[in-house]
Amino acid sequence: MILTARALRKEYSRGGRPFLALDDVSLSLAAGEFVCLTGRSGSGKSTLLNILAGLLTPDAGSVSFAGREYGAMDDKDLSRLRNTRLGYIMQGHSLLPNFTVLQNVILPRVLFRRADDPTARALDLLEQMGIRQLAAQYPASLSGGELRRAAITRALLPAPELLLADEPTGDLDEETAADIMRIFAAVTEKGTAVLMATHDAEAVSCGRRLLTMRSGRLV
Amino acid sequence: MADRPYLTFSDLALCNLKRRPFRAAGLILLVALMSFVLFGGSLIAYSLFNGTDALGKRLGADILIVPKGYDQKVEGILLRGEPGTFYMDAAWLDKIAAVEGVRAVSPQLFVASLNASCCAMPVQLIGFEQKTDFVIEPWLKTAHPGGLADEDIIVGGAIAGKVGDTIKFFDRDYRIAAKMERTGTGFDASVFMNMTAAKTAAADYGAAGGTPPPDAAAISSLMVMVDEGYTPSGVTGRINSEFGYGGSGIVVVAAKTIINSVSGGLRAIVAFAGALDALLWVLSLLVLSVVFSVVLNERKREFGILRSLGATRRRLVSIVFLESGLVSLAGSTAGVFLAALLILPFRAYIQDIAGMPYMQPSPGQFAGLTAASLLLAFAVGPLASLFSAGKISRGDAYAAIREGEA
Amino acid sequence: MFNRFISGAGAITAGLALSLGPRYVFRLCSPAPDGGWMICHWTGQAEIGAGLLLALLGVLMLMFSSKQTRLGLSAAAFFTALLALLLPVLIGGCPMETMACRRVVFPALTVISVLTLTGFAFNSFYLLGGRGRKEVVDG
Repeated sequence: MILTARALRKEYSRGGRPFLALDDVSLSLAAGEFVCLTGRSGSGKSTLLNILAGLLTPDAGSVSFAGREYGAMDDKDLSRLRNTRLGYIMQGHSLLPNFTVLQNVILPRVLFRRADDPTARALDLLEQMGIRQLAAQYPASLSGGELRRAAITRALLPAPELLLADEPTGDLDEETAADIMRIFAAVTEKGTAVLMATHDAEAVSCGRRLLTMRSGRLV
Repeated sequence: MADRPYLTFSDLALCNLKRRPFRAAGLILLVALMSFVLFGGSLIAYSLFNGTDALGKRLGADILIVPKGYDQKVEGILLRGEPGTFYMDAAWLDKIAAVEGVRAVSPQLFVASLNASCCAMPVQLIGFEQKTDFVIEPWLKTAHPGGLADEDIIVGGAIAGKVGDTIKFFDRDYRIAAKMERTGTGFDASVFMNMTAAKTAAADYGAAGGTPPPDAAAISSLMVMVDEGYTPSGVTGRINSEFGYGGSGIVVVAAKTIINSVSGGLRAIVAFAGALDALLWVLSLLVLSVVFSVVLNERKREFGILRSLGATRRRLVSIVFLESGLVSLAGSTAGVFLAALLILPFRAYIQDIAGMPYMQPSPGQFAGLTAASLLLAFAVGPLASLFSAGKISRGDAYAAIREGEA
Repeated sequence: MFNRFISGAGAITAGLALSLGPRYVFRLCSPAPDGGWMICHWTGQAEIGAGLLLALLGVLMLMFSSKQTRLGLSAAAFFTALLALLLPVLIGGCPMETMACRRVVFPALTVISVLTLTGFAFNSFYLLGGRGRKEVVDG
């Protein structure tokens, strides 16, 4: 198992009242597995993904990645994990507006510097995504689908073992959404596990395993 | 930037500043203004203190005695280098020497030159008695060993010419035997000569249309040194009571009084400048703090993205510090540079306006003052982002996105 | 465009200040009683030349849009300002520090020329494409 979560629980306070975002959620992902997570907005999908990415600490329960417990790692270890082994694609547009597509793609390498120049690999990945010609463009001039491809390219730069995607097709038209799904399918074939949150309506197009969330619980 | 694909970490901070160029410029301007006032104010205050200090050292006498009505004039000569000519009876020399508590007395003769060839502006000629002098001599010994011949003069730091040059006063040639260091006091625009030469100059001054000396022995002032165990004010009182207030035709001025009148005004200026500095510093800190915390809110999403890509909290904090550091570095450097540029060349003009001794710090002191001002002004930036930094390092803030916040 | 305007207008302003300032604003020395001119007068005359040259460079900056041309003009403006800074030293002024030229006029010329040459040093650096869009400080 590349990722295992046990009995996750997370509570927020909303307008002074407690709000249970996650209630006793357990799940596990195998290498190369493609899992879709559906549920209405507010059902706890984003919170779950944030916890699985180590960005958010659960109130109870535990997460382990390739056998390592998040609870035993400090901020630096977790950040390095996100930087090198785990790709996270945020909801909405997640490119920094002041940088070109190429600069956005190599951004992870700026945060944890390594000796090699990532430019060649970045251009190669952009080519595979079909947006190499946009490398020098700024995000403002890209379409929604192109922005999403760029974000996926960025998540793939370190060749992660797990890809977490939060509604990556939510705001796209059907055809573009189908393109994105094909990309994910291709990614899993190379051994990367994908956990993708999505709206109910799109769940049908999600082939393999399907998880449904309702009011913070997996049903 | 498109031609430079590989990013550096500092680009993250730099790009954010560029995204809001007017805000960045405004913040830089504010810090620049603050550091301008901070550095400019302390440079001027320092120079004034330096000048007053030099005046105290150069004055050398405890008490000055001048003809009645000329006490303001002598202050003008000492502080501002405004030339003047006045006379008193040489008989006072022996009278004062006899007063209890007086250890030494030496006469001086003040003559204002008319338009001299060198300077096209009157300068103060000061004759001193070489046998009894204790005021000028200590400074001359370092500059010029041996006595002064009648045609030899010692010039102040602001007088043109170098040692060996010849200067004309009243159509008579004088040779520069030594040049004094600059002191920022009225002595800079003075020319010192022996008593014989000064008496000739006074006669020339009378012949050229000025007030001639009443007799050949006339002097202008007496420099008095007080004996050990006596205070200048005590001896001043004794002289006054012995020769009678008012009626005597002389005024007794304690040197301390002149210096105190200068440093009193100085303290008020420094207090005002200090208060203004402090106010501007706090204001800059407040404005920057507010702006940075607003910016932080604006950048929640950007920080969320960076977090999701593997930025540690420490990384985010250093981006914030780098940004505020760049702002305050640019501002404080610009402010200090402009202050130095505007104040250093206008030295003579400032001294003129201030009407006080004004001596700029030595290069070493100047470097220290610059470093201290830069540091203090620069500190505003990082201090202002402490709050933001604290917010970032706390807890789960800046998770990629919260439930329902999409 | 913005840079072109700022640098051109800056050079023109600084040039006019250098050439006209000593004559009309700061009042350089008046002729000596015997009718002769003092040295500072000639420094002022030389500053008129340097200032007009600088202003002319500023006009050219407004006219040309090519980066290379403006880089050349900017470098020329830098060295003209350097010359303006050195003129009072090269030619000299009144011997007494307390006289108007040494007290006010020369310091003012120093301030204007240092600001100008700093501004054009930054501008040349910016036009060289040193590091992206740099802020342009101008005299």
